[in-house]
Amino acid sequence: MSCCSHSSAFLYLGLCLTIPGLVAADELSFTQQTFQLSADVEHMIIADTNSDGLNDLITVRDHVIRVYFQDATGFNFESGFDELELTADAVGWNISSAYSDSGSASIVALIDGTEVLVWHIKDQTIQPPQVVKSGLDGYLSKGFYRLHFNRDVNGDGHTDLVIPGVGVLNIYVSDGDGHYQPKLSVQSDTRMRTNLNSTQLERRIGQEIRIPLMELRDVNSDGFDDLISRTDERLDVFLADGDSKQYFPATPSYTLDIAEIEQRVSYFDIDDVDFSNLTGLLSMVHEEILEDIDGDGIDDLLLREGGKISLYAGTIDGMNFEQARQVLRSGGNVLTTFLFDENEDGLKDLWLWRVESISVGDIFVWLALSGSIAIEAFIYPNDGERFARRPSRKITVNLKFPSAIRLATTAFAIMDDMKEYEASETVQTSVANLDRDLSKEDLLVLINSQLQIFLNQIEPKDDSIDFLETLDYDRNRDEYEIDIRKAINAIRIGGNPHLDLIQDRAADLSIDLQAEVVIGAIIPLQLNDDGLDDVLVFTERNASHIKGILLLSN
Amino acid sequence: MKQNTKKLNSASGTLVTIVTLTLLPLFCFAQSNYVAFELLRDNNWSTIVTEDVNGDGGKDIIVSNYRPGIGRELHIFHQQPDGSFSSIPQRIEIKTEIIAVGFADLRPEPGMELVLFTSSAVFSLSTASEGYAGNIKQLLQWDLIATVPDLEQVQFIDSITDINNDGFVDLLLPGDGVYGFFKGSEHEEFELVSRFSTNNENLPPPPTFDDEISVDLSINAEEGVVIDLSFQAATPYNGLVEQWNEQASESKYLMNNEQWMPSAILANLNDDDLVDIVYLNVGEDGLGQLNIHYQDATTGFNDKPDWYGSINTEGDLRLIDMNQDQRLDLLRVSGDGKDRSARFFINKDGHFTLDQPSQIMRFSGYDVRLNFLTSNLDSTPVLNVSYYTIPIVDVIRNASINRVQLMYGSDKVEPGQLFNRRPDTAMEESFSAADVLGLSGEMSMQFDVDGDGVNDALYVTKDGTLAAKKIDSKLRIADQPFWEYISSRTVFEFKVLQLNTDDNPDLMLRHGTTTTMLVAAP
Repeated sequence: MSCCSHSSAFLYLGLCLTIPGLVAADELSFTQQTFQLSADVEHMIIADTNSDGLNDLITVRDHVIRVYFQDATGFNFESGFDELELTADAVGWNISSAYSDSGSASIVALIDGTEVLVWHIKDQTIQPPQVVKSGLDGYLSKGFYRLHFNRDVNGDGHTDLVIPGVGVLNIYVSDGDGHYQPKLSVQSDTRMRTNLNSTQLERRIGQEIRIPLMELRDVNSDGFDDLISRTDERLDVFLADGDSKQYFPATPSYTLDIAEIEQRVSYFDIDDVDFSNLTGLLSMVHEEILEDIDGDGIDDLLLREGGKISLYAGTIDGMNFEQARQVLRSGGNVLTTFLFDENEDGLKDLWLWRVESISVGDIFVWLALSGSIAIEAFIYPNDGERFARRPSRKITVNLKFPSAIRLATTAFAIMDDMKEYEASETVQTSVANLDRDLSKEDLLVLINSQLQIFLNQIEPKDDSIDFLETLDYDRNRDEYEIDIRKAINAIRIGGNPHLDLIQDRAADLSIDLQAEVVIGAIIPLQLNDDGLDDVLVFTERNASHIKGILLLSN
Repeated sequence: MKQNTKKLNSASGTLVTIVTLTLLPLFCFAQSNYVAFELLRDNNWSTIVTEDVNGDGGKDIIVSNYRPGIGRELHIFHQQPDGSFSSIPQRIEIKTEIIAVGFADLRPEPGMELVLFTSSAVFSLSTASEGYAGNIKQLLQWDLIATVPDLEQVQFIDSITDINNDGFVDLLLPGDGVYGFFKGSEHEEFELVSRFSTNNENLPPPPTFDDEISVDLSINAEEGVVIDLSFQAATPYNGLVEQWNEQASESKYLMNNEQWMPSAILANLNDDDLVDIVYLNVGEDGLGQLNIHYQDATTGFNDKPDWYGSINTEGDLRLIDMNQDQRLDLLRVSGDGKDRSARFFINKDGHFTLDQPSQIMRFSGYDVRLNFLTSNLDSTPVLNVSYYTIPIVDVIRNASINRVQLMYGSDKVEPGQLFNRRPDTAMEESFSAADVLGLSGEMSMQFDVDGDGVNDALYVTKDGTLAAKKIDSKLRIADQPFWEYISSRTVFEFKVLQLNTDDNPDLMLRHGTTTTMLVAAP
């Protein structure tokens, strides 16, 4: 580890200019710094690594992690950095404040799946590594991945370790004084796509890996987060014991054998298919919903196997699988079920959706002619213990659609229009908070080697979603229609909607970047401590370097 | 039926049925006797490999199997002298570190060895010896592009071959951003002789995120459901910068990573007998770029392409020998809806004139597929085109659609073109809802079912059986089949194979939940 030991990674830093705001944006002022990065930088992370209140810039390329430190004058990209080169057996890295007394961000790495090291940073120097924990049972054979393996699993304020193992996640719960409870292994639902063969020009070779983290929430209403592990084979719930030395039990508190259900319900042989009722295949579908149904705060289990719905009652200690509290059977082709309080009594009611029978003949006809399908929702009210035996309400959604030929033709036309926009769209935009008016966001446009700023143009987005919003659901209406043809006809293709907002308008502030923008991007971020966004403007990325300009708000 | 045995292999959950049966031929020329072997697996549609691992001249069946608590295994069903297969498979444990398995004849002992790929090395293993100790041998070290094994599935690598025609197996391996060409020699030794990248090294790394399409859905009384589509092209900066926040960074994923690169395809392109390498990437003009590395017998492949050209990548691109000169040509099929155009780019001295196709043919139908054959009469090129039409009258009257087969000869071609402008023969079949099983597999004219040296038209019948029709010298497909295999299970996919050393074609039939291997019996 040494300063400037790999100076080629950040080849050049230059210019430091102060750009005052103009006229309408006279409170805006930026210090402008140009930079040039090595092309192989894979990550840039903004974090305060030395507790000075100023965010630093961490770059990661291959096994080299470099920290560029910010001080009151900004960054010194030429020499104001330190870096560490991790050994080849480091398979994962992360940023965490868990191991620092000051709460600043430190670099952590998983070495060979067996040891976690942390590098703290003091002033502008990366300190020698300290062992967080060794003797771990992890397995990642090779690579250098961003691993989110530091996480407070039990909500006690201490950061625990989640280490990928062979088909499992190994959890090491910290007691806060540097010791960890014995390992807990839970099934991992790793999703992987690998292709190492190809005889086709357009197929790519490689691998995609996703390892989801387990779900943590209080399942039995005892105030402690429990652990839910769901894979294709099983649903495991580990109920926490907050008073015990071992927070989670070594084995699941209860398990649902999904593989067994799959084998029993979903065995599929096309020779047995009834081509006059293809939707009959829905009888092979199963669903598992873990939610509080009876209102006692403890999650219950709703298991649907085709048209059979079983309700199992959750207890403080587990789940009563001995005897289903209720079994409902529905005829017809059950599409799905979900829970939602329909009658507004505070209890979740059962919504059971069915679809009419569809034959191969129907599909052949729909290839050329428009058609419709009736989808019905039957609502079984919840009496606080179980659902009513008969539905109290039926909602019908008539789904109307054009012929498959027309749908395909329209899809091609839409794709063509999108491609046209792709070819023509070259203006990059972004949204940030650059002034003190936080009620509306500011629009940034990168055009003609200028960064143009339009203050307070963007209304905050309402991200809330109403129940069954796409149906325009109303409690007092039972008949609905979705007309796909009308929806398709109403499709409006726009390029960048932000640009529509500023047509024929002059920017509040234009900053001449004094650089040719070859491939540009605008990234708003918070670097200094003024509470306002700063801006990273990339101007070029090619095979040898990444160039850009940093605008630090004054 | 001569014999019929059924055995449940309880340990693996694999059910095999061995049946030797006599088919009733509709014509005396057809192969009439087959030994049938039915394989039931949890995932019937996963890869089945056929290789001769014990060197007895009969190809064996190799499949991947997973058992909770045991892990991954290869199950090898050995072919017996009578064309049947062993009912109990030989089991080969696949260690956790192994990402992929291939097959190659590397050792002096008869039969193929397993080639085992880990994230950083390649090994050989003989199936003739028990276990790994004293058996496994490291062949070379190489950082594979895939780094994590799938703990339930074995990946098979199927392109292991003698690339430089020196009599020894070579390896072309995808690595961390580069391909490596390893020349094989005696005693299982390999030497890295070439490295090249299929990414365009004059461009920045490709974005790891795709273009963003945002959809805004709204409902109002005036317009009903309104969908607003907007588009933001991916830039090389997507995902590059992160504002770290410990709480917010509690990602949904412990790990989320992907690495891909254009695949290098071994293809015979120029006039020497050595296979070359071709791949598609993005050029500096933002368009597709076709790249070729010609093989040199001594140095392997250059690190930069020897030839490249800009190509429109709209539609589907395929390398295929269209004019039957044993050199691969390039086909691009594009279009919208039922209007499809096929552009033929003929290989000229190992490269292509990509802005000027040799011939363009247009078709009106759905799911247009082109197959390139040789004439049964004089071995001249023949084009078979199949597609579907959906006449509204037929749909309304009897809920049926049509499948069209066109055959184009090359005896009346215009200068510089490949195939006749008009089809020599056309065949139209109507499928109603009751005939849906007949749509499960395309008619194939690639195989010679009866081994008479003339390709036949092999197809799945409307009853879900497999049948073959003769194609005459005028490219007419017979009205009636000369051969039919009636199985108790519907056939969805078929393949003609050579599973032993005789010249009789053998068959693999995929059903819904099982696969049947039919080995032709004398």
